[in-house]
Formats: sequence, structure tokens, C-alpha cells
Amino acid sequence: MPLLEIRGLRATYGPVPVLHGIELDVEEGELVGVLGHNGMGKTTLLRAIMGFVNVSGGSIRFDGQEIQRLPTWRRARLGMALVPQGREIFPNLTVLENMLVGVPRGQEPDARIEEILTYFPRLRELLDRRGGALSGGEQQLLALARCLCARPSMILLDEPTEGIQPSIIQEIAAVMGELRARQKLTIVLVEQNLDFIAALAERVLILQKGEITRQVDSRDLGNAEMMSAYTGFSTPAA
Amino acid sequence: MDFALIVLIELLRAVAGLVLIAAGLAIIFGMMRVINIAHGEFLMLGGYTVVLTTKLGVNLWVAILVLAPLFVGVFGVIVERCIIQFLYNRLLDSILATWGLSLLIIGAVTVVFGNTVEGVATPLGGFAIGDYKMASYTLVLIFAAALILAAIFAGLKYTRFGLIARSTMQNPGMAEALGVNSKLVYMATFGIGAALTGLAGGLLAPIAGVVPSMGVYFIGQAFITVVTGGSAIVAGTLSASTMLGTLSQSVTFMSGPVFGDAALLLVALILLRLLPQGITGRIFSRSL
Repeated sequence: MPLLEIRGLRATYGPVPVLHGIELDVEEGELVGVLGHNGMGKTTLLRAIMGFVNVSGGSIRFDGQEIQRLPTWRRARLGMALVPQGREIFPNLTVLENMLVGVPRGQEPDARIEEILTYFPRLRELLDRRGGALSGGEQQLLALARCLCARPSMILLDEPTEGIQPSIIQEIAAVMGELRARQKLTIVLVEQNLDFIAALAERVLILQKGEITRQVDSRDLGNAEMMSAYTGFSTPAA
Repeated sequence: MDFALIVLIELLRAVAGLVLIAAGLAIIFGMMRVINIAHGEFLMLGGYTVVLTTKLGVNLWVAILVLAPLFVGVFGVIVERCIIQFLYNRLLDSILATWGLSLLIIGAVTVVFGNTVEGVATPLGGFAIGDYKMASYTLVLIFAAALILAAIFAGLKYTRFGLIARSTMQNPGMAEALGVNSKLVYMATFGIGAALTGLAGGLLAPIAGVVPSMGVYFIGQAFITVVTGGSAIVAGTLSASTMLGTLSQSVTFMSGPVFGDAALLLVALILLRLLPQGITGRIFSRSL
């Protein structure tokens, strides 16, 4: 049974329909990419899964449980986590405090923070710095670290490379690879960066005008003709 | 020397008075950005809780320290659930709704208790400093104000609820995505702000006449203190109370209480002209 099972998902922003009957299965431990231009509904899809967007039809099942009527915080406690576009760090909290918010009640925070910092050594030197004072790349690392503090079984990652310097993109890719190797972490990755998505995803869904129009093997993302026919995206650098 | 000590204690009492009436509002307005026009009536309810329960034979200290914050805290939670929760980020609507609530509370209390001044005897008697006499209860107010600020600081800085509340007020959506029930946090935070206001009302009951319209006198000072203090709850309340309370009380010594109140308003106006984000918008901006 898939960890995430979406059937006929429809969502609107006010009167404007954005998602038109999305069908999506994500298996446990899988990394699925979602590729699409701006305004095609990628972020809305993740926000609908997380409970930020009202769903007007269809169903979302997570770990066998219907969740489309649950509030966001209940979904998070079931094991879903979101790293949103724009990071949404708590700007007036320190790096350590940002991470502590992610640690669920009843868990030993020190041990969890220490474990997460092994993936993000760069953050160790910044623990007392305010979140709002970090660079964009550091904030992205913090957003990822913060969501991992909650021990999620599935992460929804919304364009983690947007506006980030290449060295940190590599760091994020390395962390995600390591996490998947050590834990059976499921990831839904929304991206416009073809290099990044091709390097990490096992399959990639093409989202166009609120519908999943194609499913592409990640190896085919390097196929110029195929990608051009699908999306008009340029191909990744060799 | 004796006179200097008396002046110092009176200045501290003025500062403590502002801290007490502003502390709850610093949480509800300063932290949650809810303009609660009924803040003065929350104080009044705290005062009436003490008056009523002591008449029924309850120990004065239990009435002040337990029953007043408990009653007003629970009342605040009910108000948050029934009114305020629908008005977050709706500034004008929240002003109108809480203004209506304030009139409703004043009307209801007037119907029940009448428009007469109630009071409780000031406990603990007095003490002498040289030729001067002073009420011991003044020291209780100063100590209570210091303790309340310390408790707010410790609660926000060192407890899990404080951390969760600060994160939720900064970004409720992201806090929810991390498993935080933001509605519950808002409700509890409002309840704590209301309970602190009830405590302040209870503490002030023995030195102020308790009357249905007493909130009108306090609400102006409370808002001026919180707005002048700026975004940092503890540092802002403490710095604004110290500055405004000291100046106001000094002018009161020299020219009487009317000029003291006028001086408080004048200093607040000048400060907000020079520091539009309040004192902690420029100084102590990283403090709590």
C-alpha cells in the first residue's frame, strides 16, 4: 500500500480552480519529483497535501488514513512535514529555538538536535544566531533541519534550491541522499531545477495546468527531445 | 535621607503600577497583536472578584493571588473562543468587538453591584521611615510587579510553551506544519494575558476604588505603556514603565497628579515621535 495515496484531488483558490483531479501514489522510501512551470499548481499540490489549501474534491490518504479533513497540525503529527518555498524560518527565534519547535513534545530534545546537527555541521556554529539574520542558503538548511527534528516519515519539499548558492544546493542534495540511505524517508520534491531533480528523484511527474500530464523516469530528464516535448524545459548540463 | 528613600519608593510604586496594568496587555496586544479595548474591564473584573470573594469570607491573599487571575483567565479564554478567535488580523473589527464587550461588562457589573465604589481594606498596615509613614502594601506591589515581569521572561524564554507561543505568534501556519495546534496556543496565550490582567486588578483593589467604570482610567495608561515599550514584551514594558512612571511621578510630586498624567502623555508622544517602533524598536530590539 502506498504511503501517500491521492485520488481525484481538486483544489481552488477562491473561485479559481487550481488542481483538476490529481492522481498520485508515493511508496514508502520513494523520492518523487514534481516538475512544472510557475503557476501550474506545484506549490498548491504540496499545500493541499499539508492542509493549507481547502480541497474541493477527491481524497488524500496517508499511511492508510484519510486526512483531507484533518487540520495541518494533525497531519504533521501523523508524520508529514513541509519545507515551504521561502523557508518561513521564525525570524526572531535563534537557530536552536527554530529547531526545538520541531521536536515533538515528550521527546528528548538535546539528543534529537545533536543527531540532526550531524547532517548539518554548518548550523552548529550558528545555533545562537537569530533565524532572520541567516543567509538564504543557511535558512534553507535550517528549514530542512527543523522539519527533520519532528522525525517525519514523509517530507514535502517546495523548491529547496530557489535562490540558493550552488555549494549549499550540493549540501542539501548530499543530506537528502544520506537521509534516504540511513532512514526510509519518503520525499515529494517540487522543483524547477532539472539538475537537482534528475540527480535525486526516482521518477518525475510533470504538472501542467493543475494536472499530472506525464510521468518520466529520472534518466529521461536528460533526453532533450523528450523533455522539450513534455514541458519546454531546457535539459540539464552534461 | 529619609525623604529621598520615600521618594525612591514612591517612584518604584509608580513604575510598578504601570507594569501591573500593562503586563497582560503586553501579551495580548504586544505579542498577539489583538487590540483589546476591554482590557480595563478585565482589570475591573479582577478587582470585583477580590471584593466579592472577601465579602464571602475568602482570605484576601487567596482572593488576590488565586481567585482574581483564575476567574479573569477563564473569562478571557471564553472571550477568546467566542469573539477574539474570529478577529485575528482584523484590527478594526477587533477594536469594535472588544469596545462592545467593554460596554457590556460595565453594564452587567453596574446592574449587579450598582454604580458605587467598593473597596477592601489595605492589608499589612504601615511602616515608618524617619518622620514619614508608608503603607507596607506598596512594597508588595513593587515586589509583585518585579515577580510578574520575571515570570513572563522565564515563561517565554525557558519553557516549551513559551517557545511554542513565540513561534506561533511569528508564523502560525509554519508552527502548524510542525505539529503545533495554533488555535490552542492562541487561546492559552490570551487566557494567560487575561489572568495577568485579573491579577493586576486584584492587586490594585486594596488601593484603588473598585467601581464599574474604573477600567477607563487604566486602559489609556496601559496602551501608552505597551505602545511606547515596543515589540519586546518584557524589556518594552519595563523600559516604558520606568521612563513614564518616573517622569509622571516626579511631575506629580512637584505639581500634582493632573500634571503628572499630562506629563506621561507628553513624554509618550515625544518618544513615539522619535522612536515610532517604541523604545525596543531601537534599543533592546533582540530582547524578549
